Amino acid sequence: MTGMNKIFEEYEKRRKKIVEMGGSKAVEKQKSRGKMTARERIEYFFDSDTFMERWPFMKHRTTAFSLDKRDIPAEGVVTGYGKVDGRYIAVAAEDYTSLAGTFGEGHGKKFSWALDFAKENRMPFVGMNDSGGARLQEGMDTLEAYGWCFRSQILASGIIPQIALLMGPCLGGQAYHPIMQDFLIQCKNTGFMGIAGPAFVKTQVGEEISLEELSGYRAHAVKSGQTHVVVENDEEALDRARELLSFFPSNNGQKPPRIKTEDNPERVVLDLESLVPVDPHKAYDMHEIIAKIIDDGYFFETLGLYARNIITGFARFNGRPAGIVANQPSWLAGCIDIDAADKAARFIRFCDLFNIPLISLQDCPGYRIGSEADWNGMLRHGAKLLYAWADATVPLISILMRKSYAGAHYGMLDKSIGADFVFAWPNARVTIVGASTAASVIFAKEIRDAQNPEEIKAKRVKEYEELYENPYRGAERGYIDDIILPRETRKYINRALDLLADKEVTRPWRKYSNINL
Amino acid sequence: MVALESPMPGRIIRINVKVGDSVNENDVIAVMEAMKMEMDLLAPASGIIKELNMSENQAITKSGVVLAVIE
Repeated sequence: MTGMNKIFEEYEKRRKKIVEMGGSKAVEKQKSRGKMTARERIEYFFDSDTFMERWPFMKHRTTAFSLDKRDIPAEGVVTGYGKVDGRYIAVAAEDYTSLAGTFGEGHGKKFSWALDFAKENRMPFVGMNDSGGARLQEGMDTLEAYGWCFRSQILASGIIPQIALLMGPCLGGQAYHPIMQDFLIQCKNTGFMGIAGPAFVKTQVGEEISLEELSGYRAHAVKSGQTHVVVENDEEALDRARELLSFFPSNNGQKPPRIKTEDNPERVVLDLESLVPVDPHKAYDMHEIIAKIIDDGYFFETLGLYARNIITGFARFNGRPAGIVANQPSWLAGCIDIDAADKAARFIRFCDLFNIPLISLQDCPGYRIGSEADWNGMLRHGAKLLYAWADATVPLISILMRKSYAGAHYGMLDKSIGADFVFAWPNARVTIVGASTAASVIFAKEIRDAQNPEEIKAKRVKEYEELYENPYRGAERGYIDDIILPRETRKYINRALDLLADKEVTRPWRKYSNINL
Repeated sequence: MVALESPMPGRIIRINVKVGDSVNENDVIAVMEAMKMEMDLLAPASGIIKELNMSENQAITKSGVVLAVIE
């Protein structure tokens, strides 16, 4: 027995060392930066007593630079599985207190294996990034290990949802890890991400810029469109990640979890009729419309600070998760520009991958035009939206609230591109182009030759407007399933979702579509 | 010094301030029309209008054009 006790004692000692991470001093430093430790994050994140760690004893094998003399508990990343709302989630939480959570062979192996296991066993993966970057001492071993991680996550993409929590630095090639996940949540004061940090930028390209400005939340939530959600601190990041997961199935073979709601699915929303101005030139805040029609006004917006002319996010209808894509008339006229097309297309594809129905709320003057837009590739970026809708096989419901012109008619989902249901409000203007443009093309000669060109133009505009700028022509052809009162919108969406609950689409095999990336 | 830049190409249809006026952040400095929509151009910060580089009915052909400077 004493022999066994000794063995156990040694085991306990070793495990204790791992659990203590980088030691009390390093842990204190971590906390003084307002951050939780990797293990605290895991404990906070998962349902109580559900976490099972894996590979805690992993150790690198480099002897260079006396690295073998250094203790790096758990190789600077805690990996394993735990439950969120009763469902298993795989996690890799980087531990900055252990050699700055640097990424080497063992660290990368753990990431990659955690991802592979999550894929094979069909559970979401959550990465908690907090790392000083590449462990340079390991040279080639570090270089190769990044590739394992990237390949694993890419091969898991579309099979399991993946969420990145940027809670500390993640600079250099390593930043491809969070960016290639489905959603990225960034902590305001502690999360930094970029292809290179300020020191490298200064020596290589001579640019002097602070870490906050180069890699902070403004850089990615506002400018680059890579951070979906900004949070104040670690707790909020973990809370938001749990919330986000509640909209998703565990994998692409399941439907998203439906919850019970007290919100009447047929609730009449009278306010809608005063919130949207009749004058098509006047703007309003689409968020107000969204809040009125979804369950309990609860909307989880993604990329809310980027390409604000289009709104994307998750909500529930009669307890069913759904993705919302909506124009925002109060930002850049609500037009679809390059950034808006990118933002919405990736969102649509995520929803389609994970069986989440999509609702489009249309009030869009069109794709953005002009040399700026065209020379930057408006067409190829705009095409992403068309691909995303046409390729999607989930329930697709489109509400034409006001303007639905030209390319935006398809870009925001119409019948021809694949909508299952299209409902228009009576004030909708659904046609190939706005009346004034149409009239000035069709009647160009008549207007030019007229004694009173302005008068003739106004007359012709009115004529075109009365003939085509309404929902009736589309409804007559069957392209609009019905014209409904704005107040009935929630009811119609819920009935359509009921009807489409078992929608199935079978298409000829192909590797994938050649979307304009 | 903070600049109000054109968010996109468009036409200025209304200007609500003149040089020397004091404004609060998010006041509507001017209204632009683009893509058949009116959009409010909001003061990016509180302060005094130092420069005004636009006039009513003027077409702004690019985004990023400095329309006003607030100090």
